[in-house]
Amino acid sequence: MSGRLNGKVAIVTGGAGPIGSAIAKAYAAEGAQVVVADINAVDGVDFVETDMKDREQVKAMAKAVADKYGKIDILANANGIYFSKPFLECTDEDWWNVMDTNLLTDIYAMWEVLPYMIEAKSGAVVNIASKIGANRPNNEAAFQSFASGALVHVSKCINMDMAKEGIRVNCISAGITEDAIEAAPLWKNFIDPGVIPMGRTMKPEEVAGAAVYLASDEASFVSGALIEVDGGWVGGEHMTARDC
Amino acid sequence: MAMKMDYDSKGKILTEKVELVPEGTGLVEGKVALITGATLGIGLAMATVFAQHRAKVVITGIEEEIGQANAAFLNECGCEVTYVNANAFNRDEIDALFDIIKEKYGRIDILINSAGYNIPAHFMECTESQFRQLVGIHGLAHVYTLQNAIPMMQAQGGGVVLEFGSKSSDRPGDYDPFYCLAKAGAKLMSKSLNMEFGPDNIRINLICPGPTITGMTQDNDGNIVPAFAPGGPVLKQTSLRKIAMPKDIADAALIICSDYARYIGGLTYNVDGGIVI
Repeated sequence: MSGRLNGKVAIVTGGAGPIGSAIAKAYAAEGAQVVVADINAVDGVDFVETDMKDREQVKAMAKAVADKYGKIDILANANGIYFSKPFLECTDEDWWNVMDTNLLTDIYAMWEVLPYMIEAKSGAVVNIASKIGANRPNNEAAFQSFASGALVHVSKCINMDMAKEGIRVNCISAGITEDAIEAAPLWKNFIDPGVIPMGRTMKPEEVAGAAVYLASDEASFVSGALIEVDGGWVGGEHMTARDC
Repeated sequence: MAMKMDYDSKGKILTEKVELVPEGTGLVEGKVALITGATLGIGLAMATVFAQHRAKVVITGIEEEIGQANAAFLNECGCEVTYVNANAFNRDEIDALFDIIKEKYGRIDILINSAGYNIPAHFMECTESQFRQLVGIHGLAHVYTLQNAIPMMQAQGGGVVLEFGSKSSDRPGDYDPFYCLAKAGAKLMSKSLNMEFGPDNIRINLICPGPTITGMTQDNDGNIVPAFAPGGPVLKQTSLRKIAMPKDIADAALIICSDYARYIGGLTYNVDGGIVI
């Protein structure tokens, strides 16, 4: 299929990262006009340099897109870091780093973009959360788990206000990628058929299908949902990464 | 509509006398229990119930006068309750609190993080300050007590933690999305912590109270706010069609902190009158 997002204007925040860029590519392939917002530059696409942790920059980015294209139909948020650390060693700074990067960025984006969608009485928001916390807890991942769980649930809450405005708000739980393991080596122990039946890491582009679906009119009655793209995660005998 | 209860909206215990259970029968007998946010509401009810079951209870909160008064009253009834003034979201005060516990008892068997509050607002009216307050008090503040308590529990061979979620951990709300956000985060964090410290014989569970008569559901005159009144929208969510008294939550907390629950960890313990998610 193609053209599923024909005529749509889509912002992908965190669009320079592996998952964000895969989503941006997929949206463009389906006919959307894509704008990438990220602190890191991206070539070959409509790009607005944005520090997603700075609300004023997020506001300016949203306005720039709305001014240029006249509307914003889709907002996909692929912001966040992977954070795995023994709980007793975690600091206040770690806490706010995770909350600001994994959660507040998406909140800023929604605060600044939803007014345009509300005015148009139409829109689709897709928030990408990590599998760790949405909804799999893990040892040495208390802060990550808090942020991911919080993002999915607040998205459901926002859906309660926005669905009646014609705006759908959904989440994707993204499985473990090679970058995730690089950032959190403990997680390599999940790549075992006893935990993830597919026995491998997720390729970033494997999230894109779900992101296209949730952004498209095919998902016209889907809101407050969570799609888990996780290789069939079950836990199995290896209950925690520590035990593997 | 004012309703009779065992505590007034300011936290003063109204019961004439609190009876302890017979010696040897307390469900948390001899355990050292710290309960934050225990000058009012559910925290105070838990302090009372745990003290009745012969725990050595330390309570904190910022309402010094009420805290001291309630501790004095409970001690007059034969309980063992110590009030320490500490702001749950102040690391230094929490560290100092644990210094007192270490000196007084040398151990901590039960930690209950119940301090917290709500700041209702629809999402588009929410502010960053509200985000930081709620994520702080329901998340980072718990880190302070946990980072103090867990090493003690590891050294003593085990312990019990009761984290506080809410029916809002699972049930979304349009009128308080940031409270829901924080309580959902708390749920996943408690499960992660249970995975991390279960091997140390530390059980970490999450209690999720439903609508309860406390300062969060009453106005300043002690009347229940309309949303929580009988026939109102919140009670319609509960299968039992009634609001909880703080003691309804406290009694449930007692069971899950006792040895009856010795094989329960990582639990999401919904004590909410049967709310359907």
